Amino acid sequence: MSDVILPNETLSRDARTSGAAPEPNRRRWSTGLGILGLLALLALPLVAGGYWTFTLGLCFANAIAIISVSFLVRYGGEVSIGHGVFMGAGAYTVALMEKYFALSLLASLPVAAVVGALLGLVFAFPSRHLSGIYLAVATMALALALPEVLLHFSTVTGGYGGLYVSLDAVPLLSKSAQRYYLPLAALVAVVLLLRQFRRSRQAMALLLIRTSAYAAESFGVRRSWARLSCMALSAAIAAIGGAVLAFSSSTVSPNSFTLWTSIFLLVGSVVSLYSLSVVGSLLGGLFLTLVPLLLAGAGDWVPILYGAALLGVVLGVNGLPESLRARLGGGRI
Amino acid sequence: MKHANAAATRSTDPLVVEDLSLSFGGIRVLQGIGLRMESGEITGLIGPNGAGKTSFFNCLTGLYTPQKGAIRLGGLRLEGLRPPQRAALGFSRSFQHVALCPELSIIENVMIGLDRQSTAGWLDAFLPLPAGNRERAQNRERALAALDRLGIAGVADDSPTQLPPGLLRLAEIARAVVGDPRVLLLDEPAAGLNSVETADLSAALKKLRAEHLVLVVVEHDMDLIMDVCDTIHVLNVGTLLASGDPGQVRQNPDVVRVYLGDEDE
Repeated sequence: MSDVILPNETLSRDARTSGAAPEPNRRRWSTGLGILGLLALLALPLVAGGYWTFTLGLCFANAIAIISVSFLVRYGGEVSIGHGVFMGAGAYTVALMEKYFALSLLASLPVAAVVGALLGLVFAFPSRHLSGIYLAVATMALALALPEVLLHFSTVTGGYGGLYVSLDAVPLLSKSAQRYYLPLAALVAVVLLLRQFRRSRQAMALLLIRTSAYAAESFGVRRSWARLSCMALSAAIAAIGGAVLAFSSSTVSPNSFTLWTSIFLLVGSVVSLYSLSVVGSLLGGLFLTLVPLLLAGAGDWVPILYGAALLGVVLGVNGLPESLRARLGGGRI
Repeated sequence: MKHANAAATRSTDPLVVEDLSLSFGGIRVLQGIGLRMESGEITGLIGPNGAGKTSFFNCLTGLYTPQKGAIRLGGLRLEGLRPPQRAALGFSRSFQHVALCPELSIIENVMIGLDRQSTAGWLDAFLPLPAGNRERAQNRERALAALDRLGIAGVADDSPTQLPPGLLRLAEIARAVVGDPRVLLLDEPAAGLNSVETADLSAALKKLRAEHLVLVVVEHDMDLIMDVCDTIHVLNVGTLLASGDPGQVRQNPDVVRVYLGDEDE
């Protein structure tokens, strides 16, 4: 399964660079570059206009949701076309906690992550014996159901109109700065947490059970444990993405979390090469956020141009040298 | 389970198989097999193709459940237990086709052998907390010691995709022994190895012999089996044909007939 999804060269490269003692020079270089890139992103709102700051804020939120799909591919070997649902769960948690308890994002974000994880568990338990295309179709059913569910409970969810998210999360910062810096901070935090996770015994067990389930079982790792944990973690990450997206866009509505949202998340994940790094996931996030904007004037041609852009990116990325691709794919994670 | 594990690990009871029978549909694969695999010994299991070695091995690992008979380790009955439950009792194994994860380094693969003994929780997984870090460092030390015992500590941080089959086989055995198992089952460890690699494997296996360890090797390579084993059991068409030390087995006329063919036929 996993070999179908992840090209073998990527796997070997990952493994080569994931050891405990990579070349110190290379490590120093990439750490230096990472810090420089982060400083550039931190300084960007000073030079970029409000429009770009707003768009990049959405892009960071989307990047987190893309990481959630990539996490499921990398650690679970499974594809989801329903992660918009978990994203929606996070977004609505933030909006509802503001509506009913007047709590801001900082208080509601952890709750959103927990709600996402629980929803992931609720979905994963009955589907724990499904895999491959069957699981993907099951997640699709979830994505199709969400807008209907939201509309059914319109007194709570605000129906078609949705809900507003307007409370400040950080008091002294301007609204537009908050909408940029909070998603950025969340993205960096998620990537750092996942980097730490990669070294854990749980991550090793998940990776082994994905490649050799029978071997993992012989060492006491259970398949159902692996599936439930993987789906819950992935859903929690998606919910964090949804929560910061709700904050950045200041509104949530059923239109934001349709089947297309889920499909685009998968597309973003493919474009990012299932990366769990800031750079890789941002590439997917930028594709997801910017390409529709750039193509906005093209009318009926949008889907065709979008598809062409997707092909272009995937083929182009595959044409890059292997070492660069591995770097984009978050080799050290 | 932990108590049972501790008790099993302390004891030197043999792994005993009594009157074991297994069939698929109407086909009888194993019939009335009874044998003892002693602690502190290396037990070999051989037989021509179709003898039932793999089926018998799978009964020991918990992949197959025999219709009749018993598998006992001391006072524990094992035949109804699944592989993860047997792992909790100190069972460990290697695989005929190397089953290491290509995305993990060799030492990380070996550290999985310590997973069932580790206690680091989800918070330790995501945050660099002292207890989790300490356990990870200890597990790394133990994994390194296991690799060292098999003479391959030098490749600890390499990827399995870069290494030859002989080293991978040893790495897999390191993963199987790192948790100090009570029962170690090796499935054709010499498959696909050249003569130099087989000699290394043979030396490594002899070093694994330990008072509390039941070590069972299923193998085609007769030279390896004769070299490392204390006791050998020979299976043929689902029944136990002969048992004894390498000298006895080599002299046994039934074994010779099965392996070299009957002159009357």
